Amino acid sequence: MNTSVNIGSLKLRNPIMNASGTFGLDEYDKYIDFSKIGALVAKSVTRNPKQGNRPPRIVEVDSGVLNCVGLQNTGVLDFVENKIPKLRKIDTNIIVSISNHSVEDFKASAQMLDKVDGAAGYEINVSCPNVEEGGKTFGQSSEQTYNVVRTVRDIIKAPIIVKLTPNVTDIVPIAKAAVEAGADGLTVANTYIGMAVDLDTKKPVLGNIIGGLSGAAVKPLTLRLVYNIHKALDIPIVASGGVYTAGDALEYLLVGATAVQVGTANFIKPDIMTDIVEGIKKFMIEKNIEDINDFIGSLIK
Amino acid sequence: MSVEISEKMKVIESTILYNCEIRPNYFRMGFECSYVSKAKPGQFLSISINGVEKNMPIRRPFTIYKIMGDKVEIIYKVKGKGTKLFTKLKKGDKINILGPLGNTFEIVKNSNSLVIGRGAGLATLANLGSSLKDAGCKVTTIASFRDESVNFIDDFIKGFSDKLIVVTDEDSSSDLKNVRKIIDEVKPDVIYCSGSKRIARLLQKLDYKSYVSLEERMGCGLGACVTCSVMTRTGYKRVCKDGPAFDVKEVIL
Repeated sequence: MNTSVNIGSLKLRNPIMNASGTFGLDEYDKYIDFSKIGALVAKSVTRNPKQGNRPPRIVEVDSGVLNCVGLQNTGVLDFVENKIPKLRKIDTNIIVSISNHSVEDFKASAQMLDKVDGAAGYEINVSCPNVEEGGKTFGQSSEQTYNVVRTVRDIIKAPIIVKLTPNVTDIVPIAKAAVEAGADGLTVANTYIGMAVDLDTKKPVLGNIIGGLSGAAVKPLTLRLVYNIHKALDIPIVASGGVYTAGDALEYLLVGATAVQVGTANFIKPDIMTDIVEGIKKFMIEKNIEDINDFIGSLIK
Repeated sequence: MSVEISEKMKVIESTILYNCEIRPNYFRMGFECSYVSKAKPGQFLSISINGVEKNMPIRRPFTIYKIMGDKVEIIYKVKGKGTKLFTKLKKGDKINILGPLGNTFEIVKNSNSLVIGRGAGLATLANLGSSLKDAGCKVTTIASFRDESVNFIDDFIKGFSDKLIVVTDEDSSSDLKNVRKIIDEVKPDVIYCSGSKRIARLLQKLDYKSYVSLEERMGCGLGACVTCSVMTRTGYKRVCKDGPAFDVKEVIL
């Protein structure tokens, strides 16, 4: 049985990895065997340290979770010096996630990361506001997405996966821009912006007022995005949105995803990703699937 | 025994022994859990119902009220959708426990200790109170409630308290002036508080060594998602991993 898949030159032993920011080496080491997942995606790193948004930063809503962490991290220098050496030791692919508020900062971060060569691949998070362009999210513009991806591509030779925002009218042209700029894969998609309010206090629940929605609620929405992009473009897709079970992951593979990220579900069961991998193998045996790649994109219309 | 622990995983399936309303909106839940019985004072449990339940995407953190051999008891207040679901659980139902998690309070042996708990915050400090007593401390407990209807003091709290003072909003005895008067009369070596930012802010101004157990909405419970952050003098810290116990003078409330 073959469960391994490729995203450009990045070979994954199976299609399951975590979504950035929901999982970590130090925190989950006690609970999960990293050698059983396809990759570990590190929490997004920015050029300079970021304090993040004021709390509360998370609230559960019907069938989902809203969060507004605000990319809290200790900056790329600390990441390179203190985190990469530890990440390198674990037996799975390390994907480093980069996020920033200007093309210049993406460039500087990529240069520092490329020098240490600690990652099997990179995920470019374009779901953050571009301060140079009036705060509009990079990933909401084909041109800005192209600029960011091209800038990083010119520096980093390792595979690059671009994590798209779903908060757009049509995701396909933006996906196309990322591919034209040299992306080896696309993560589809980040969280959906939303908000929650408290009737008793008459205040927003989240410190940042708005946050990103994840969890079961978003799965049908993201499934459709993956389906649309797979139809339009020949590019490996890493699906991300509301995966709790092997069945959820397999649905994404069926509509064309090559790999699948698990985010919110890690909060329920810290080793849920290994359950999902086992579930996929069981499904393959039951359905007589020799190679998972034969199943990917096999949706009958 | 319904407890299963694999080598890597410390997520434990446990069976509920009882879950009853002890005061309006306050519940007492007991369950079997020998693994959790090693929990240190101040630590918490992250509990979910039925494991992977898509309609309840994240766990809920609960502090431990009392450990009795292999049995653990929590006292919780109904605050939202999650805790409301917990009230529906009955004897024999299964819960799924991650933990014990978080840090612990510093205990100074044989010290004059003051425990100040407001509402459910008193339950947070009960396991600590019992440990203080075991460490030879003189324990004074200030129990603060909105009114007598939610006073859930039982023999356990009475048992570890050398002196127990109940204050309420009803008769204004819970106001800061009176609480401060009691503190100055006790002249404690160490103060532990939970459940009231008002009292924590008071302690920040006083010259006593004081700790606070903080609450925040939580995601993973393990320190990875940094959603349960609270501001401190040295930047944001995680309630789940760096806390829940903090030096009261370190946090910005």
